[in-house]
Amino acid sequence: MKTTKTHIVGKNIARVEAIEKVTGEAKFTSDINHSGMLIAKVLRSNQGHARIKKLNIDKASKICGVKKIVTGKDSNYYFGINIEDQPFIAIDKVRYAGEPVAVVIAEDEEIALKALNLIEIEYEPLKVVTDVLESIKPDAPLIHENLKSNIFHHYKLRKGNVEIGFKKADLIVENEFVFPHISHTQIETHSCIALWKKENILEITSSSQAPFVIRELFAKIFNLNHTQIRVYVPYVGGGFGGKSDVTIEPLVAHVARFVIGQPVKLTLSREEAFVGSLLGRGIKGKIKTGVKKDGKIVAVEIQMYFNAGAYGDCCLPIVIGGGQNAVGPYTIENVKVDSYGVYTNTPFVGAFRGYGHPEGSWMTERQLNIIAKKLNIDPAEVRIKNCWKVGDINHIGQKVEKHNGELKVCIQKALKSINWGNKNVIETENKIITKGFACFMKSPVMTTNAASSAIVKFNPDGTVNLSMGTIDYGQGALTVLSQICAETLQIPVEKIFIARQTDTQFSPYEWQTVASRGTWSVGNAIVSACNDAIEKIKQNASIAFKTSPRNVEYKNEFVFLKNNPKKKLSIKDVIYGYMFPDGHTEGGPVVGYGYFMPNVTNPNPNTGQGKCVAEWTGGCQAAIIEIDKKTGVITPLKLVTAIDAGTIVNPKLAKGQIVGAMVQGLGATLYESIIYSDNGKVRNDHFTDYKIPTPEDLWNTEFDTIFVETAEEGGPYGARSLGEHAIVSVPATIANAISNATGIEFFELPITSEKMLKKLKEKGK
Amino acid sequence: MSIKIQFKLNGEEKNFYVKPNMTLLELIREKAHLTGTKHGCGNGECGACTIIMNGEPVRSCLILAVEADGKEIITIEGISPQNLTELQKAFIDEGAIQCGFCTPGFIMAGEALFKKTQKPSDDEIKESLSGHLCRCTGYEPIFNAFKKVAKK
Ligand code: FES
Ligand code: FES
Repeated sequence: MKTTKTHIVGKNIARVEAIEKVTGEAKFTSDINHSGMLIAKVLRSNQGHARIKKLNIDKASKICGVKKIVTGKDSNYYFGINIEDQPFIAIDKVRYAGEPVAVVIAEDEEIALKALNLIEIEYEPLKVVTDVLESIKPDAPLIHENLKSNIFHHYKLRKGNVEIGFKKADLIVENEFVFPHISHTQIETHSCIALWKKENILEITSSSQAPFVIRELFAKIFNLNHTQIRVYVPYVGGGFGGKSDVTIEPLVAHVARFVIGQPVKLTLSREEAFVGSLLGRGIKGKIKTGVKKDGKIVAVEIQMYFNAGAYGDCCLPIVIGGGQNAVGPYTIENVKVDSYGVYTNTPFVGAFRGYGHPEGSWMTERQLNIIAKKLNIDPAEVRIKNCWKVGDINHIGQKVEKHNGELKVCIQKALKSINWGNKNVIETENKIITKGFACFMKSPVMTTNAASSAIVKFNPDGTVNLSMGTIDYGQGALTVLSQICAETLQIPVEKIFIARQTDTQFSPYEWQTVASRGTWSVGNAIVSACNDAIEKIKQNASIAFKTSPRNVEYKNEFVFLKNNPKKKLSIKDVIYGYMFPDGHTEGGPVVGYGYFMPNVTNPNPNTGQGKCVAEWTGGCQAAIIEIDKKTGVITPLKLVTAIDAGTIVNPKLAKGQIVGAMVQGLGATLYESIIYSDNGKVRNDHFTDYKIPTPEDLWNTEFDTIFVETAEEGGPYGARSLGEHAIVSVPATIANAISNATGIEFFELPITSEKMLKKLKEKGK
Repeated sequence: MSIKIQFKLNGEEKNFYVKPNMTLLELIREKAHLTGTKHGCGNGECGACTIIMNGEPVRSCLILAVEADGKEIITIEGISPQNLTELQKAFIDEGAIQCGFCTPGFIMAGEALFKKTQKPSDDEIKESLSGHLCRCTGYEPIFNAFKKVAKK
């Protein structure tokens, strides 16, 4: 839909659920307790890879208040959405340190913990492999012994012929890059309550981004139909992908089967959240780029090895998405990408804001800077020379359209914001101030039938209840979608009440809340639901006007005759049917329904080519940083994102997403990585040793968010996605800034102050 | 073994029987059923559990319930039961809330600060925020909300 003049789309209205959140009224899963509720606690393996030799629960079971102890002996089922490779509780062997080996269900937490301590377990250690490149070696221990290798997926992207391309190159640059495992560390840890009712109905309450995925998977696991499963999601305290797909829900639902009629709750401790849900990222990659003297890229060859951890189900689509988008927003004639999903003995990996894109960006955007330096041309020029232009055929064979956005304008605006080209480096005795930038691109990686749907229900007083199935875990979806609804219905936004909670029993279907799809995909569904409601209003009005609905017009809460606008009625007179003077009523309550289905297909499995991406959003990030020569501490002085996300529905909330994403990206750049001991244990499972950005780190940072608004043809009022994007190229931006001033090239994240200091010393700085 | 304690909670005298190892956070959430105070880490590392005890912002996960005996405690629910405070309003206006899980902790830190000094300096604001984690906002709008109230 093209942007026309809008009333409420584009306005900064306050977050609709703000008062609940600012007063502590908002209820999250861990705040919910049911009568008769039991508490589950998980005994987790302290071995990275081992056979379970002995597991004795006799003593623990005798503790008063223990209802049941469930172990791997109770089920030999393996579940998964994409690959069925995961047991609820380790069976015979453990594949990562932190894997559940037993679950105690007890009357309260203290009893459960006491029982956990009395469970006797003995392991026979096996060789542990936590490194992805070690894990693909022929002599590596097999994580899943029924398979021939630890590689569970290989994605291929082929365009042109790289051999021919490299022959044409004036310069070939090859580098290797590392992005470690990181943790989402949502401040709300995962929490889930499961209740099996006697009539074989399973009720789940969970801090989840994906209630409909849970329902679908549970139907398969437990052999139920969809009406027998109810998934309810209250407020969610941060997601970032770490609560998408399924996380702790299968475990809780499984153990709750043993205490039918009693709700069982599991809330992860902070330490458990590092090992007991999902981790993010974790790749090692190689990139080989061939360029002409003027910076034109002629060929690129990339290999990415995704360290998926012990189970590959949630990582598999990231292997695809990461490979598919690794080359960034550049038109390159010859492309060859191979990305591999690899099992190792670490907690398993799933979605993390950016979904495969930051991994590719870390390689591609660093590489472009290195190339520019070698060719002695401005890194901006290299990007502008190669970036998508209208009419180009991109790496997966899709044509770049005008409405895909203005990348070049974003580059120019971001560079202007840091005054690129003017005093790019200032060095004093103790400090270096330097600038850098990198482009980014993100597309929603999703199933081909990732549908959204929405229902708008008019009330007799003219207010509207809006339901959809997306979860607002902070992005602002509730607010932005209310604005889209108000715009289409032409009613004040205050008259719309959007359902804050999602319940598969009442909410219309939504695939899941991931991939920055909310505004775009759910927004489209809402526009269509509102239009459906307007049609029904016209139908009811046609009864009153004794004419055909074709002759009725709707505007701003009134219906009138097209050829006689004076003949008009308030919608209140028609939204519940029309009542004639004698009381006889015709027509009925107005409820509008709409859906959105992306128009995409699966890629060709051998080449990755195909119409598999529904929309692209790109832009440019830039930074000014200060490096302390004495301590190696890097302070961001300015962080910039220029993004063409189409029409911005709510600038303030959009800015909040950009700033929040940049700071999350900064964490991965400077501080965050999961550290494993030799036997695979996570050594930094606290905020004290897994540092995330703190208020002190950002106190002196200026933020600039620049929106270039090229309307998206397939988006509601021209809007496109933006929730994840500003995380994508922060690491490359900062590393490029460091390189620009010092010549120090970082290939591995995070760039901690210790590493920075060491490199500065080596350089004699 | 339970110990009887008595303290003022959000303006009302309350009695509780608590186990000696129960934390004040557990007491507030599980016995007083005030769930606005959040558990983000249980180790004093995130600030989500911040409440005001005798005028000071404290991390209720690090305090034993028995230590509350005889004290005056305010939680997010008791900060201003009828209206929103200036800081709460500023949080809404500045977009300082996303998922909202860290929000009660930040608000309590701020309320304690503004009760002590009406016009805190930037350094005082910075200090009051120390040790509070937010994974969503990037802190900028939270700083802005605090600074806005400090300017009033
Ligand atoms: S829960 Fe108390 S500081 Fe995190
Ligand atoms: S708003 Fe989500 S943690 Fe702060």
